[in-house]
Amino acid sequence: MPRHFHFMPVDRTVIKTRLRTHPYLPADPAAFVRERCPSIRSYASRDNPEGLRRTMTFDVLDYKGIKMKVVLAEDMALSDITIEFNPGVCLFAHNGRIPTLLQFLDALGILSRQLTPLLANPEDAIDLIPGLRVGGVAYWDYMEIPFQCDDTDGAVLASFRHLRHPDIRKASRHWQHGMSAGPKPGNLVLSVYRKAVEMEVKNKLAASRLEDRKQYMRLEARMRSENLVEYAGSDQNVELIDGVKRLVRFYPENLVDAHRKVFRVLEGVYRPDDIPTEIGQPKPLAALGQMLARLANDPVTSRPFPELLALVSYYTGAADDTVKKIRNAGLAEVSRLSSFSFRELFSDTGYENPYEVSSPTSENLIFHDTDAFRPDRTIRQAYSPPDQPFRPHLEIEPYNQYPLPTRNS
Amino acid sequence: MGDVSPTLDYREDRGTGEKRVKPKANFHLVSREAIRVFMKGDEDDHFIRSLDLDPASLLGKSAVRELTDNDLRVSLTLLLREVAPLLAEDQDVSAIVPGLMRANEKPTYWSTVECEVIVRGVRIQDLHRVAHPLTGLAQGTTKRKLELKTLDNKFRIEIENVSRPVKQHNDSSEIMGIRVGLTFKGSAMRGTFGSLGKFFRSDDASPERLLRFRLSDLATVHFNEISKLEGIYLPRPTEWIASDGRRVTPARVVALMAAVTGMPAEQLRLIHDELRPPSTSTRKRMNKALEVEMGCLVAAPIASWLPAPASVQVTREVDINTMAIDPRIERVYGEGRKS
Repeated sequence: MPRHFHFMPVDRTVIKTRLRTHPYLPADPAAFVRERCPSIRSYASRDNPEGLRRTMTFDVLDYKGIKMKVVLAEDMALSDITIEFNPGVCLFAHNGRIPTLLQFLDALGILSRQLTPLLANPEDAIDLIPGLRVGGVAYWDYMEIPFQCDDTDGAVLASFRHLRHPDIRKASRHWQHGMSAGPKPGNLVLSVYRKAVEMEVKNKLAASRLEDRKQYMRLEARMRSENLVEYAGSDQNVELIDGVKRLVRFYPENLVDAHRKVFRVLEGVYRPDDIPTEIGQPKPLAALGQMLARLANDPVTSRPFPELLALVSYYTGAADDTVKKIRNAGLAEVSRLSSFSFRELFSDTGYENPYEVSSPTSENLIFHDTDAFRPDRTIRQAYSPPDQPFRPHLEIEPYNQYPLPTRNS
Repeated sequence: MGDVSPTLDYREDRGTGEKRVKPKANFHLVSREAIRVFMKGDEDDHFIRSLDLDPASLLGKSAVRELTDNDLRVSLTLLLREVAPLLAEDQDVSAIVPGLMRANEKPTYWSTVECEVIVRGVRIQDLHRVAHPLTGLAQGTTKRKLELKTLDNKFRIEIENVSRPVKQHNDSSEIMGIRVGLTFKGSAMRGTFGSLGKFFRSDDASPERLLRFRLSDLATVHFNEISKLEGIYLPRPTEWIASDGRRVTPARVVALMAAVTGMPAEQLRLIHDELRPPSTSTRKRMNKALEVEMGCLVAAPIASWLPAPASVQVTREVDINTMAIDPRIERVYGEGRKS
């Protein structure tokens, strides 16, 4: 029986496409926005120094979630368009909650409805969202896939500080409440942090709500371009656009699989499924690696294993081969000392019952037209898995989920 | 003057419910980052809301040099000269430079101050457990940069590896070292400047604002704050760098880890002995070797180490001594004036 997940674990995304913008827009953007696009919050325009192209940027929605950048060229009908889209922020004014599949479809409908007025032809809106037609020009170019779990004893963050990913060369960065691995900006970045703490610092969560949720840990995989295709792509959701493979649609299970693929290959984090019962005396360099691992695991040290290894390399000038032997032994040891396995942490239950940081203060600010509740049929066909079982408690909205506006919209 | 590319904010008017257009823009004067003007307004009026001034860029920053009090006076004179033509009313010219306005008017003030020194011959890889009483431990450290900041970001110290060109007479060379930058703003200013700056408060409920200061006093402020840095400076031992034999030995690693983590060497020895129980002779050799290696690692507290900042006489790009200082600037920032 195929697996079905009812939460769409997606945070910030970037869509790239090509469309014709409304001909009246460049002449007087201020008047155009005022008359036709009341939900646009700000507009910026910048001319390319060579004077050949003009870039217009539109921030949509009072509480963010959609930003569209248009690169206009005088003699071209089609403009290059980049859309930054965060479905959670569209719906909740923050991204502490993982949207359900239905909520994600709602958010796509909002995206389409808000940006269509900027287009020359409303029917072109089919190319605002990737995957709505075969042979379309729109594709997903960047995606953040989150997973949230409980980390009351701090073991999850402590273990992830030692991580090594085979495709990431750049040293990790560490803060009191989180860490990140991968270059910024980069094609693959891992971010592990206490979500409620981050939201409180950014004034998205009241301090009074922090205490109960302080331990919620967010484990996020951020992927771009070919990495996104490699991890989330399959025969069913990748198409060639301008000769390059691009991700054009996805179901919840595609994102869960992508997230697991990224995190599965980490070294130094998870307790192995089979631990050797007898460990013979290690060789000299391996013993040093294990010593560093035990030192890194000591809460008093406050320096993760990769940092201790880097210090040995810097101060001694050790050869690469020597460092590699120390590293391999050390990573195996921190893994052995971990309190959780990969399967325990990234279980199906974990994805189906995510820990969420809600913020009623922020969420009660959001109003959308009731039309937004009826997902567009084309969007639904593209993004709803076939034969998805019905989950009433997730897919029938509570009566007061979206209160009616109390003023003129 | 560079490209002026306004952003239009569409904000709902609370009274009418209508969306009003509020433009804002940043642009540069003289050269990029020398003077940056931030303007904001509505459809009818535009206001200069803030001015960023980089004296080193403005005066032709091509080499490492210490800025002097006279440099600040010249910079402020140039600021006055460049911005004044942008104003609608001549009477507002005194609002360009902090400290020039009359006492009963709402003054312009310094909202953020950044200063830096270059320290030769050090790399951030040599600094460990760096902390400051106001910020705690450094966080988010990379190979090139180390940062300490308060939660509200009003006080920040950045230490990063740099190499800067230096001109001395007709020769050019490079300084390799670290840049120690200090940034403070808002409420952090009173605590750091103390009595060295002139502050103003319009009423008891308002925060204190910095009206004027001297660059020489700013250098004192900078030195006072970095003197409070905790942690150790541990340079790479020359004996280890020149070593022909085995570079990585248990004694060397134990000594190093004890120095950088603060964990006692004996405790680390126990961990290692548990993994590879030594014979009596091995233990004796290890004891001797450990004593030697620990002797090579010479750590110093960061606060006591502070070598003199790089300070080199350079060929000046702008003939500052002959530039007339605006009398209004001289009156407020002149040499005879105490902060």
